[in-house]
Amino acid sequence: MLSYLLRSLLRAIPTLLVSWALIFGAFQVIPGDPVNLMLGGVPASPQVRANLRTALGLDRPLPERFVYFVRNISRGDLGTSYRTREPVAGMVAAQLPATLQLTAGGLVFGLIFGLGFGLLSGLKPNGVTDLVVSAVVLLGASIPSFWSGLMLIWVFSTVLGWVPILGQGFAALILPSITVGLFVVAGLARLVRSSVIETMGQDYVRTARAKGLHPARVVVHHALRNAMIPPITLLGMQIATMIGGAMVTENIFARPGIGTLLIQSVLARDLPVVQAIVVYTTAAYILINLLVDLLAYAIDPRVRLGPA
Amino acid sequence: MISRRQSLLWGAAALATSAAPVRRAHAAQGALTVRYGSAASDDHTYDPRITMMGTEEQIIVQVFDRLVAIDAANQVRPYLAKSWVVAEDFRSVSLQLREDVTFHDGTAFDAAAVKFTFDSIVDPATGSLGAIDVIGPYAGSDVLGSHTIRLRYRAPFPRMLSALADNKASIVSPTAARALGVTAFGHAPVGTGPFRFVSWTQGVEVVLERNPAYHWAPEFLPQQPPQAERVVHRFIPNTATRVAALDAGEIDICEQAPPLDVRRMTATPQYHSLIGNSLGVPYGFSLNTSRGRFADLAVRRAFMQSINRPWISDNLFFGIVKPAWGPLAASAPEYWSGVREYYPFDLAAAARLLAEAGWQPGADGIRQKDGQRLALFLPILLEPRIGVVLQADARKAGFDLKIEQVTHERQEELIFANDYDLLSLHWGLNDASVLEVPFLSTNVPAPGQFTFNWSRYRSAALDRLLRDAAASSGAQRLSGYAEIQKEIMDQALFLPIHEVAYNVVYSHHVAGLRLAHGNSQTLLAAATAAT
Amino acid sequence: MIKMWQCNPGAALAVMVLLGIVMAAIFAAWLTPHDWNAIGVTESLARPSMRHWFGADIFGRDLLSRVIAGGRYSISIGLLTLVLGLVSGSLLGMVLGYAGGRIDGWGSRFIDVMLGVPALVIAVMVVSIMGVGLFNVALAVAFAQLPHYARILRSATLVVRRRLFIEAAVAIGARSPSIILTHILPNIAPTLVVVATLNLGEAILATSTLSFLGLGAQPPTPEWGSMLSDGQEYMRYAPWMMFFPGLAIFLTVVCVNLIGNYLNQRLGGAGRRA
Repeated sequence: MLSYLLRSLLRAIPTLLVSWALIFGAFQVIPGDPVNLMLGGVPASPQVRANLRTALGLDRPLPERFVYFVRNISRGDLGTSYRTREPVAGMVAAQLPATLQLTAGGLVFGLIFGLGFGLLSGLKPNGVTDLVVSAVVLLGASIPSFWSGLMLIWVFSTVLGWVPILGQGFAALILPSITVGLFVVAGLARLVRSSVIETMGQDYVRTARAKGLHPARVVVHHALRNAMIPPITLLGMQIATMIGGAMVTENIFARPGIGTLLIQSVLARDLPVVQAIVVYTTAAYILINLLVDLLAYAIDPRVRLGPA
Repeated sequence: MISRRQSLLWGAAALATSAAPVRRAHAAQGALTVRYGSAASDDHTYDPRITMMGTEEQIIVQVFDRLVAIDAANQVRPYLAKSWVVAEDFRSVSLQLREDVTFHDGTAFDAAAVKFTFDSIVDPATGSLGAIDVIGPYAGSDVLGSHTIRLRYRAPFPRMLSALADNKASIVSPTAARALGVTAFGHAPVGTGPFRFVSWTQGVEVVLERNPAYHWAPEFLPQQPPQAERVVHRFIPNTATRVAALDAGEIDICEQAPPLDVRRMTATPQYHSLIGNSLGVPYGFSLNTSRGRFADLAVRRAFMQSINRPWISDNLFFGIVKPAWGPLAASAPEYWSGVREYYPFDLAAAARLLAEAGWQPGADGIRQKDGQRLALFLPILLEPRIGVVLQADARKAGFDLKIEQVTHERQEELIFANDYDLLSLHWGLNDASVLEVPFLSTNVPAPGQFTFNWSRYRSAALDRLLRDAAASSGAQRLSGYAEIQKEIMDQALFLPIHEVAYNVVYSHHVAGLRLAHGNSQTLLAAATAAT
Repeated sequence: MIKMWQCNPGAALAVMVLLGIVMAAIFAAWLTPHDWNAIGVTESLARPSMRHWFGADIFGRDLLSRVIAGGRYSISIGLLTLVLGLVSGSLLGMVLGYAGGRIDGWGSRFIDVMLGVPALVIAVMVVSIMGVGLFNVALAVAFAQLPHYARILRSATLVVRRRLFIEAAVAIGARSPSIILTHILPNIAPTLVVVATLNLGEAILATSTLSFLGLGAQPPTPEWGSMLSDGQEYMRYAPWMMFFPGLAIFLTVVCVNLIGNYLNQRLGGAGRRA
């Protein structure tokens, strides 16, 4: 297990570096002089501009700047925002908990309903349940998240008044979590369903049934573990999509978070913040995939034994 | 302090109204906490010497006082200064200060504090961009006695007293300002005002508490210390959320609610509102005279006549906001009523003007001349909805108006590149000299200089009128500004759309709110719990 | 068509509805009861009525006309995005799958990295570089979806490459580009078609999301996403401003997805996601 972890980490680090290199490179081609953006239109003499240029490190060659970039990230220094003049790391850290809450809420909702629906329809394929669940899944995948979010607000807050809009409390997290989680439900349910169908069709399951084991035990003990592997690997990608979906949800529900910060910064051409968020998201994604890999390793002996 | 009887009544009222699903987060024991919902997402500083944002003045006006105050009749009245003598040449003023005033940190208010405040404003190390403009050609001050001070000016400054009433000329505590430095002082301001600063959680809220020693308000305002124990100033930038917060009872005062919500809420006895037209330049558009189709005066005039301004007020603002007809707010004393006659909505007149200028109707409804289309570009930053109306209205007259919703940064790019035909503009200032901002020749943007003469109209005559009017007073001032407004309208430099309204909707549980001079802030010092 | 109805009524219905939406969008100029950009046609925020089935927006514009005309922008931009992303992603995937070796190694890593950043974030970044506007949004979303297509097409190419006739083609001296185009492409075409239809829905959703965020359509373009964004402010007083454009997006994407599922079933498991 440990060696697998180490190997995975070793694989992840170059990926991380390459992605940061790409991000860094992308931001170099963005038109607009960073010095101008930093000054924000306040008149400044050429001397002040030259000083700023040196302070930002813009007069150094590209590879050297990349090295500084990576070094700064590892030290937790993500630069200074052009818009607010505050350290970006602080801004991101301040907004992160809200987004994490939202993503967690969406994950919980998505897992419960995604797994639930997938199991229900997978265990009884082509039955009535399957049809209903498939319809729900189709709807969930087709609905624009900004529409579902707004409709939810309208129905439950404006018309019925059941759920508060304002506040950081748990109650205020319900609707946003549903909005973010809907897409996960759709993707997960579909995959769980096909995975369950495939697993239940395997020989060993039929053997277990033939042995006369209780159907529930068959499902839980024998089939479930193996059926879960493809969905778990998908989960990693789904989380990335959810972080993107959180952007819209934060906008609609007027919640603070990384998404709101990203959009604000994009519109304001506040590149250090945009860069920092992308850097963090990539790192988070790689980390999550790492965890997912480990989870798959723990569950699936085939991974442990290596490719045949 | 709230009496027992009042707190019993208050408790009874709370019980009675708690049948509705409303949560009240007032402090216990019936003490009044006023919760104000601000439209800003956060502020940068509460140091009046460097503040640049109107939303920051909402706090500044509670924490600080000024030397003089302006009442509802636009008269200058004593405040921290008991009396004054203005020199004949308008180059200095001697003020006699109150002797019973102290800052929140215990420092005595005296002439040295006033001198410190103004000297630090003009000190480049402070980095003032707003206050330094407001206090005019301030040259220095002489402390003539512990509570007597003379302010000196480099050039005649007839409106010096109204300048001293501006929020940016508030008096700061020298002890605190020196000890903390400008940045930290902005995060922990110390003044003499009715409320003292307690805390600021960035992006969330600012808390103030009453100053029990306060008894030096201007005579036309209540003289006792505030009844409110605390003020909680919450940042709720999302409009719907802010209104919802008021609905749910989580705040008592909601700033800048949308017109429909104002109308809905004030139709019930549970909410009241205060609406004021802010002083300054109303919301409108600068027409770029230096290039494109608008270089022709006739085209500018035709454009202005094709816009239906009353329709905008009625349909987008439901009558809560009034149309504007000139470059100066209607509530300003120097407002010239003659602007009302200019450019009424008249498509036929617009068509005539355009035809005379050689613009003939084209195949797709857009006018053409010498193979060129009557095309205009509006990068719009403020109130993009108005842009949609402009687009639709102008089309009927044969203009092809292209719109792009932009951010500050993008607008700046376009300004420096002179790549626009119209720009949205509004400027809040409690003095008619605000007209210099968009119309003085030296304020045309140039590389490295971000200024606001976006119509790029250069006229030595207009410059002279502006400077003379700013330096004058009385009847001369009124006629001077009337001429200026006439010239601006004659040249069709600015398309006024609507007066800028500041509104607060507040719960009927709170009373005693009033708008500060200039109608852009709410004074909370006299707030009481209404029974 | 009849056969389709028999084995999958949902997909057949979807085809008809989608056709209806597309036709309405194309013939909008004749179909719409009012000019969709004309303001003041009726009073602001008018409720849905016999004269104005979908009500009016804040400018008094007829919402039904705007929704019908909006199909033009939302669907065409979705299609454009799909085509751009699919073509570039497929080319990349095919080249990588065919080339193998170091090129494939680096390319795959590039794809993995791009897949690591949420598509919406990439799209927002691209728009921040290029500026706002519907066309830029199409480019941005296409770029963001590129790795997704590349990965699928790469796997499909790898499968086809192992087949004998490729070896034969190489043996007779055919050059790589022609091999890719004349041999590989036709064999992975079914995969392409399925992937395309399955992702058209996502392309439409992504582009309207960016428009909703204010990065896409500029006034007065009646694009569904930006119409929803306008309606947000008046949700309490005129929920129809928000309801109908959203419904339009929803219906279109549902139909596209139904058709995509049907094609997936018909053309076999070759289109299943990697």
